[in-house]
Amino acid sequence: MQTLEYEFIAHPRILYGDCSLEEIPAELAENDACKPLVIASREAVRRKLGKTLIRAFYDSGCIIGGIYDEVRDYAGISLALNAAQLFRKRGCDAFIALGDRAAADIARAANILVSHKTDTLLPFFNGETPSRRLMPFIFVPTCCTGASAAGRTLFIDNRRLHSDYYFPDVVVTDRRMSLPCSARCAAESAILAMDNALWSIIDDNQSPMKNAFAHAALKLIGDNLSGFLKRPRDGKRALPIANAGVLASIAAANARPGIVRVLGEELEKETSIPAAVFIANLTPAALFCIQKNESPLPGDLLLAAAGMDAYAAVPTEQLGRRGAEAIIEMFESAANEIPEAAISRIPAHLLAEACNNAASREMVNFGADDAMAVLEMARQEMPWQTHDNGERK
Amino acid sequence: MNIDRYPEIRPGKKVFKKAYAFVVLLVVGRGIEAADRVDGEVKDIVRGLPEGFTFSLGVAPSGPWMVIRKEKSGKLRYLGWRRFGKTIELDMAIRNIEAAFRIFTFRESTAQAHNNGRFSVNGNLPNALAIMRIMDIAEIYLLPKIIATLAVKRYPDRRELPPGRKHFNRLRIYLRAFSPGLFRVVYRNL
Amino acid sequence: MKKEIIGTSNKVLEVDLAARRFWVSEIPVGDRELYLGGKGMGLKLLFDRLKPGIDPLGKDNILVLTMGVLMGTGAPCSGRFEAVTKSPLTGIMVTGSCGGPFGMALKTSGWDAMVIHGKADEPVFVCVDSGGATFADAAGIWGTGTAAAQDTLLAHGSGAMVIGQAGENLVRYANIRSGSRFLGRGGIGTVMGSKNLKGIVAKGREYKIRPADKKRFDRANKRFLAHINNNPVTAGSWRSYGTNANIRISNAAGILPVRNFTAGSHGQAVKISGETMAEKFDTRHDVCKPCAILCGHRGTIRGEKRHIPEYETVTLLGSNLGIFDPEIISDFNELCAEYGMDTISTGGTIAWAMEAAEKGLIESDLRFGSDEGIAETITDIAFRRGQGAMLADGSRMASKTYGGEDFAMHVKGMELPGYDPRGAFGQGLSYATANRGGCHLSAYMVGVEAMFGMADPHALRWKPYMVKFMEDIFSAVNSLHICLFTAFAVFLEPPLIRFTPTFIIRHLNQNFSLLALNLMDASLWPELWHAVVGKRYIPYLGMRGFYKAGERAHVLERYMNIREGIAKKDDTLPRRLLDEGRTCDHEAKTVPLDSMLKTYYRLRGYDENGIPREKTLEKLGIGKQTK
Ligand code: SF4
Repeated sequence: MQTLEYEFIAHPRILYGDCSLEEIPAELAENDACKPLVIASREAVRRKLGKTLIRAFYDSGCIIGGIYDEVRDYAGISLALNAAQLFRKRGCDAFIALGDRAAADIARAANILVSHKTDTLLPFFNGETPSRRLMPFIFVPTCCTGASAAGRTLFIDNRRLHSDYYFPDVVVTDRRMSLPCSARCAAESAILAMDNALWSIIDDNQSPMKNAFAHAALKLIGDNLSGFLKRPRDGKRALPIANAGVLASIAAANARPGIVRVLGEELEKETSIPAAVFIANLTPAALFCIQKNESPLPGDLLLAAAGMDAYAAVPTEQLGRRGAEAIIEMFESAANEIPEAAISRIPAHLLAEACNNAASREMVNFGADDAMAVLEMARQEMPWQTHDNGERK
Repeated sequence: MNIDRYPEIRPGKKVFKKAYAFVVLLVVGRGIEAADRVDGEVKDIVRGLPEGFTFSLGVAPSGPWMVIRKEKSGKLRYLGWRRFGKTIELDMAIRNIEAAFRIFTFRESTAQAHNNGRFSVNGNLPNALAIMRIMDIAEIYLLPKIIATLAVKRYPDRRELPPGRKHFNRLRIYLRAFSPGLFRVVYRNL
Repeated sequence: MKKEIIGTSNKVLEVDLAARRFWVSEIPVGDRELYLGGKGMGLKLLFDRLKPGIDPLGKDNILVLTMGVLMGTGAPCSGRFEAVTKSPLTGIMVTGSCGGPFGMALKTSGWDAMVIHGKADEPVFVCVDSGGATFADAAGIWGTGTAAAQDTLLAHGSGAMVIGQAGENLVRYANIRSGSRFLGRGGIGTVMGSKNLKGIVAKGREYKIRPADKKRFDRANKRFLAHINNNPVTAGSWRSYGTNANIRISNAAGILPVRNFTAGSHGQAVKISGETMAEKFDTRHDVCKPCAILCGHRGTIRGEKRHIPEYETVTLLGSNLGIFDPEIISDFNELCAEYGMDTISTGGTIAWAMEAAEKGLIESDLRFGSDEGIAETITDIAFRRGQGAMLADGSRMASKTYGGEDFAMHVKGMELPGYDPRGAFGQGLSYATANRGGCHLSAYMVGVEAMFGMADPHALRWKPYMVKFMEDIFSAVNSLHICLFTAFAVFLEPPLIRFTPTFIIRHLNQNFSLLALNLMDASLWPELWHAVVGKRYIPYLGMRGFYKAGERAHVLERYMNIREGIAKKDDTLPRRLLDEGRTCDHEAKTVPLDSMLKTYYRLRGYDENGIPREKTLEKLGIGKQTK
């Protein structure tokens, strides 16, 4: 019998469902905190989510140290330094990030600064990891891509720092907060969640816990995606997708970063087009490349997206292919909401640069040539797009 | 950076919800005391509790609460809503007022609320489960069936609790709950 | 006797560096009417030849040099030529204007434009005369600074343009020197470096350029000169103090960049003002030829005759780094001139590095307010040594790698010049929409808003229209091609404006901009153009045509940028300008860009993503083949 060796960490407590926002004071109390500083994205405050959060603190006995609402789409050290300064001056003892990835990252960075009593992240940029537990950190993802930031990566000033200490202590997905602001946001959040789930399943470290998280995420997405894309602000659909985003990001935190995600991020850096656009474009190509290299796809897990019936109806030898088809179909339906047809319009030298940068990222297990092969494939018509009889879908 | 742009926020109070929870806890507290004197099953459960056992149920962190103690006489006594100066052996708290309001407006049964992690319990777990059962029985008597089915884990069928006995006990419990003893408790807690 | 060109020769010298050959092509008459010359013509020549998506530092990039029809006619401030290429700094089109002698030499060698293709195997320089181009080995001057290289090349002709070590080392904002003037922005020098082209020298003085309607030209020219000599800016402050006359104005208006755009004014600004420098350095004129405004100056600094740094240099290598000593700024300016590096981008990138170092993103001793290490950093950048290698790619690339994107003060990759738009919102919009990136010369709204007080700097009403109007005009002026500074004289001297009190102009302009701007008499420019090419026209109709030619060039450039992936996402400002207020403002002010951008797109005929609509392109005749 094959012995299974794996490591898995899922630190955050996930609060999901009605009234979960009101649980925050109790969670703070459990972490010996009572005066949080809220790091909020401007968009969240514009949508009055800050007020909703304050209402959740009514009768809680907690004081909110302030709502630092300067975060837009970029997480930079300047904001983190300001947030840390505010945190210290107000005598706060916990962080709440309200918003998307950038808000979470500013909270993480400010948390390092205050927890390590420092004014610079330079040692951390140079490879140091936190030496002690950070202050309690609660993350309330709002809108689209937020849920995908529940992992163990701090992405600040275009640098990625990894540590288990960067996991939020609590992630709250609440109906009032986690609704996407537009159909496009909805599609992007679904794409990011699917990508996280997909590549943590494909990852060679076959931890059953990681697979369980990713599988659950895919199942949630599969069940809710079409309804969610049609009515993105329907809480019944949006909340499971947000939840899937959190689960998938925890799974992805325990896996290597997938080629598509890394390439998407590097292309975003080159072109300022959101990574999700590229991910939607590149996933079919990447899956085809994997099949071409005769690496087996774990179709049984991927078919979770299509549901139990589909799984039961597919012969074992076709599981991989059908699983991939099911996933691609989901990516395509989400991609329909995003108008840019990205890859073909990017200058070749930028694509090459993105491939080189992607291959030089830490923890990746592919080379620049593999990345280029995926990009090349993405420009061509995917064989996935035809049925067995050769007919176009 | 001008930190005054990000003022400190002292969140307000949910006066109505708190008042509502206060009334519900008062009625349930008195109802439990009365049920102990009327219903055999409650009596059996209470018998299993240690003497002087005091428990509180309420809304964290700032109330309202109800405090009940098992007296030397072996009977439960509702002590009111003040916890100061009392040694609480079992502290059951609903984690926030919003969750309490959901439970007290019967949108979520007590069992479901436990399942959803709405309660935090500090004390002996078997005793906590015993108290939950007592509460369920008290609610069956205090509330009309249509509401009580939402609030309790399982509503007893006619064989377990014949309608005659139910209505008779209910009348007795109401009379006891709203007897002059109520004014005594209110007076002591003021 | 010299041969004559009546109006324009319409001849283009095309050079292939890889094959070391040249050929001659013609500018179609239709194109001349649609795109005038200079910038417009350069863009059209590039549009017809450049494949979208190519690597700007690869062999497929093309460098186009064009002259305007006024060059060589003796019209004041007409000694300017234009360079157009795909920028290695921004990845989109870049156009640059220069008042050096190369333009005149090329034009009087009989060429209206020069197009450079391919990449030489070995360093070369190109000698141009009326017979075409010859290629010479540049190994001997490769690695020399701009001054020495220019001196060597001038043995072969009357005007040269050269790059320094920065261009050779592919510093992405390397510039080109011609005389004491520079083709500054966007890394046009880098493109030359990537082609192994050290310089070009034109023999010149072979042809005489004669306007087709000499009498009419002389009449217009006289009026033009009178306007220039009457205007208090062109004949007053700028003639006496150069562009640095703006320092005091900018400081008072709160638009002077201080410490990487964290403040808009500074108590020591007077130390770097034009007035102070004129007195301290005993300045004399040192200008483009021909010129009647005479904005350039040289003076005695540290015992040497040096060119006085221009406003942009003084602000970006001075106040923006927290340095208020003009001698030190001049040292930096001389270094940049020698290496052939854009002072705006150099200053902007160093300011980013200072802030990044302060905030712990990079390890460096550079600090605001201290000149220590700056000269060394400039040299390191030019030679791509140590940390200089990272800074040589500009603040956008550096911030993408090391972070600090929120304080990398660039638009589309090009560092911002010396005007903080939080004190002039129209300038903010103009930075965001400028085709080549962070550029003040696309519309120069600070002139309208902060300098002449013709619009409320913080009002939003009509600003998109003003920006569009100014962009069209400046684009047309750059296509004539004549110095943009003549705009002060042309706009402000006609009687209607001159005798109307400023408060009325301000009121009209702010509230009835469409009417007020279109009533302005800018007919002098088209008059000069038509006099040279020999066409009759009705003044106001001619003005319309002139504006439309400017609009055409502007939209064509946008369209070319769209093919390179530019869209609304890129029409933005650094986050600092959108989010951070300044202490110098009574109330924290940030640029409300979004609200202006939407209207601007509508006025321009772009869709909501900033892409020119089919109809707009059709209306302007863009993409049509002309004969
Ligand atoms: S005004 Fe200045 S920039 Fe313009 S042509 Fe004259 S010297 Fe050159």
